[in-house]
Amino acid sequence: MDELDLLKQHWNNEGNFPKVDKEQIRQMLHRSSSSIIKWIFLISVIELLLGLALFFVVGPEETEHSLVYTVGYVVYDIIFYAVILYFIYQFFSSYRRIKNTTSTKVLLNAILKTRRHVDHYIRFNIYCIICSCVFVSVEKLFQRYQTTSTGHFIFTAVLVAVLVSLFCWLFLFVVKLYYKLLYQRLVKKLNRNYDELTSMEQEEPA
Amino acid sequence: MTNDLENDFINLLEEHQNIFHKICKLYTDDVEAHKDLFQEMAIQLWHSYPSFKGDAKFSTWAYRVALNTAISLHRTKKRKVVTVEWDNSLQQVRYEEYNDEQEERLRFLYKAVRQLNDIEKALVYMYLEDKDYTEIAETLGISEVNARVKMNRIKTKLKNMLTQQGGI
Repeated sequence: MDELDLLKQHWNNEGNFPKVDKEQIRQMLHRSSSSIIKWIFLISVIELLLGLALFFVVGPEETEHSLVYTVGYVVYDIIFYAVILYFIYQFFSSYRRIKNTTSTKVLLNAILKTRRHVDHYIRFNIYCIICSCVFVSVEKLFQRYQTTSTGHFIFTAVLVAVLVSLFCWLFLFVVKLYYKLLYQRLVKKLNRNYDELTSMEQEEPA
Repeated sequence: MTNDLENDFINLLEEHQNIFHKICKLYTDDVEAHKDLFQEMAIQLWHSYPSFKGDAKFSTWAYRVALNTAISLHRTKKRKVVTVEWDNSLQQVRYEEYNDEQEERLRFLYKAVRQLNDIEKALVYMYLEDKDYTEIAETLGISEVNARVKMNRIKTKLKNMLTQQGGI
């Protein structure tokens, strides 16, 4: 008899559990869930809204710009909103597919996929912010080029390049830290269990 | 949702509550965590109850949702979670207190099973509940062959763990 068969004998007679009565069950049903999905959903919605809010805060300035800048900005706006709408649609449609009655692997995949849409959204926002910085900096430099000497222009260009790089590096560092502290901890268990199931399927049966 | 639906659900949950206590016992180490997981299972089951079709057995449907809760949805908290107060009889779920030799062996076994990962615990649970490999595979979303292979590996793993601990 192996170890699990010994446990099975005891398992079937396991009866010393407490009795949770109907009223206690009723109270439980009206408690708020503290599941991982709830937290992922809340954090994801905050991140989606934050991305949109950031775009409105860092809106276009009320100054005169070159034609290239204005056209570029309009094209950028259209692409930005189209992609944002696509991400929001993807997020909510995959969120609706999360069902705790499916198989464990399908459930884990659905949760991780939903979260991945938000990851891509965040990544897209970061690229957009970096592109905006570069775009605005080039435009400012171009304006300055018309009113300043070449030596002074080169100095300003180098200074701006250093500052923009520094800002981008710091920004990426903060975002990575945020992900490590909050998001990685939240989905660590899901990733671990999904990897376990996937690796079982990849292994050749003995 | 109507009160009738809620009452039906509460009756079924009360009747089959041992299923959830057993899962809690494998996935938690103390009384508070047991209560917390049980409560989350009840909430998750209630949320999905409208999709439960009466032609299936409640216990068959419910254990899958309960396992999914333990594996995918439940987050072990460091802080104290507000749970519905139960009778102190939960203290009788002996996590660490065993008396005679037979119970000492069981203590080692439970301890070893709790050291397995979440997926392995699910396999052990279904094995102990006498589920066939087709159902085990379907519940986890893996092939039947892999479920068998994994189960054999778990048995070996447990044997090694117990030998190292000197339990059996």
